[in-house]
Amino acid sequence: MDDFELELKKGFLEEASQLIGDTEQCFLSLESTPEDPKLLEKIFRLAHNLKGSAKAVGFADLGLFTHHFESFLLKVKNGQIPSSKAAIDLLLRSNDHLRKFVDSLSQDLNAVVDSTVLISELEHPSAEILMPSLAAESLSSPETSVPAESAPAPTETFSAEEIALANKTEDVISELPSSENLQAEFSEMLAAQPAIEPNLESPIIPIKQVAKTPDPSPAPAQATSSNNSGSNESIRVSLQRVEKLIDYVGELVILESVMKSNITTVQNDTFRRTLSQIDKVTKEIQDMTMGLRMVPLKQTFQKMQRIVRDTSGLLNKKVRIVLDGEDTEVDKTVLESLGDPLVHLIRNACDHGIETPEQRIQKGKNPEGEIRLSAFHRSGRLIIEIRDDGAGIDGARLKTKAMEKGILSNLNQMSDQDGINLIFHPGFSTKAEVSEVSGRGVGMDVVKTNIERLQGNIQIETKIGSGTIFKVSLPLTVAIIEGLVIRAGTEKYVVPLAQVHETVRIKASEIDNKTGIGEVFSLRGEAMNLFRLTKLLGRNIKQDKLDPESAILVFREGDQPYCILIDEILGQQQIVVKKLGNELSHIKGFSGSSILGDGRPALILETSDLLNQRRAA
Amino acid sequence: MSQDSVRYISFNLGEEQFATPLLSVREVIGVPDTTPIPQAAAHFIGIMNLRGQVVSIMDLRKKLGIKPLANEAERAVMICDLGGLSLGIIVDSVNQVLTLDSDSISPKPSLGTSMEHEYIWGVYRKESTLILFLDIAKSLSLEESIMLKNGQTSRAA
Repeated sequence: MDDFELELKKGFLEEASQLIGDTEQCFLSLESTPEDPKLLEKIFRLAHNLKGSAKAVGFADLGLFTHHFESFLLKVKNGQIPSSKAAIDLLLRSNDHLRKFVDSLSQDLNAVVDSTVLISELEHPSAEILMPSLAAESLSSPETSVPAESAPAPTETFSAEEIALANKTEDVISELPSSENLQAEFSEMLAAQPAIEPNLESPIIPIKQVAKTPDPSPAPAQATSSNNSGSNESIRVSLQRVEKLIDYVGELVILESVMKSNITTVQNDTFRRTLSQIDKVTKEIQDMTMGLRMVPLKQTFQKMQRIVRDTSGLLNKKVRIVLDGEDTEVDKTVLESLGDPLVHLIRNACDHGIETPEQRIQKGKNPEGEIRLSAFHRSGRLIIEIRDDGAGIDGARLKTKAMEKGILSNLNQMSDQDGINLIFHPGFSTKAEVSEVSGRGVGMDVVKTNIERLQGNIQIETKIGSGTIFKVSLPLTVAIIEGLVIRAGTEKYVVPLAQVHETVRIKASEIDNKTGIGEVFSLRGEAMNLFRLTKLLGRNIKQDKLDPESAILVFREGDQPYCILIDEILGQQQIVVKKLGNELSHIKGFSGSSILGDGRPALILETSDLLNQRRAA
Repeated sequence: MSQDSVRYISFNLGEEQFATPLLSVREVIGVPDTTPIPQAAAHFIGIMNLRGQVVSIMDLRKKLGIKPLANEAERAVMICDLGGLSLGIIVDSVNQVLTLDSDSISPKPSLGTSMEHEYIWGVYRKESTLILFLDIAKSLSLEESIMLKNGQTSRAA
């Protein structure tokens, strides 16, 4: 495969996943408004575009599948197959297959995906899909006379003819020698019309529409692009380029600040004025480049629609999902790590939150449950709420359960509110049986860990009988964090501020080192383990003497609070996070690096990793 | 320049001369300020800020057991692109750009040096000069696994 072909294929796959993503919403809306011709039109266009390009770049199998998919769609579009639930199910499954297909090709250009089952279903729709139509008979009879050239035998099945018709349409499009020829061919077809039975009209319409346009295939494409253009015109840029741009802008900001710190030595007024203008422009540029990483939540949210549909179907529950704030923007990296936790929370809401229709009727609720997924910005953070109107979480019951499982030793020590937070405990599940959907007790703790890894947090508000709200708060970006710049020994380090619970000045006399479990510091009567950062970093420094600026950072993220002794807190500032290269991947304890105001890089500490490493030692 | 001739950049590590394809070297800079990485291997000098990009700096001499030149005046860092990874390599001097046909490079000989031969894929001799062709990426990936092993054993000890 030469470079050009490779490039073509890659380009196609990227475009294909974009197209599939764009059309996802149409599939989902089909269920509520199956009659909407615009939806089918859009999906049809997707299949048609993919089919053409897939074949052109040499993905023959994908081309074949999309061909059958398109043929089936054509039948639905023409009304020969009613858009029943069964038909939409098949469409959705085809959409999934298409996505999987494109995904596996993206990973391996030579991947082989088996589509035979789905193709045969599309080719020979089950009775369930065909049945609701009594028109099957009357439709097929005129059909036979339409493709005069192919002259199908009357015994041939309805669907095979239909594909022949679709192929014919395709041929008209692709061959298309000139408009004269087309007209000639078309008038031939028109000439044949009088001989056909009166109810022929509807199936032939698509051909007419296609044939009328002198150059039909680019037409839909133009329509799409003109729809997209206008106010929201956009181009696609690789993330790598954006990151490079951010790097350079970061450097610009540092250089500019060096210049600013020397301004007092400059007498020239024009120079000073220009510098302050540069300062403003630089800030604008920095804000804008950071904004380039921001993407709307839309696609992730829409995926949740599908999750609710599938999960509730599996559980025989009726659940409606309401989306709110889909256009809220968030950093691409945050978004990518947000998908899995969200899916889990949504599944949980369907499984544990929403009751069965019978239970709901008993409680006097609408038999159809509602999950509301909303997103908004609040004080520089992204808030995502997953609100269900289900049974709520019973804190007392969770506590009893925790007792039985031996997670908790004394019931009375814990309030019911704290009991609710037990669902984040590893290995905890209240569901009596393990269902296909959830209940294995792995998950909520992972959800919490994932969210905390993104410097976020999750809270629960619940009321027994009326529902639960999971509130996830996340930073808008992981590219910039609020950081504490500290010194340990001679080096500067950064600690993400979100991890630090508090900072306290400390004297050597306050450290108790006679405990037998290492050094202990007592903070307002609460004893906690104390670790010296220099030691955690593998440097040996004299024990007794402390720097006058010494302080401790208190961490309360795990089960046990602990504190870390550092030599000086230098300040708090916004930190542009840069990943460390692969050559450093084996060194644990650092989540990245950042370039500080003095132009030198500093490491960002991941204190929990540092501690784990020490414990493992 | 004939078709299969390639340009190489030659440099000194201690007294010995090495060369690597010119295209794998992005730029040559003076020895920068670096931030050390705790618990990294000894030849890992630290990380530097290269116009907003954080780049690791390695000392190949330490790794290959070569005694550095006493004269530091010519010392420089070559920023190399090794398969998507940018690394800085400290060298005692950067000497020249050589354009060589592939036949003028002899295959790896059995040298009398203490050096690990895997890093060397060829030699070039001209009069009294001997230039060793160094595969930087190979030497580093090898070193990385060694580093990992050492790290584990020292922690266990």
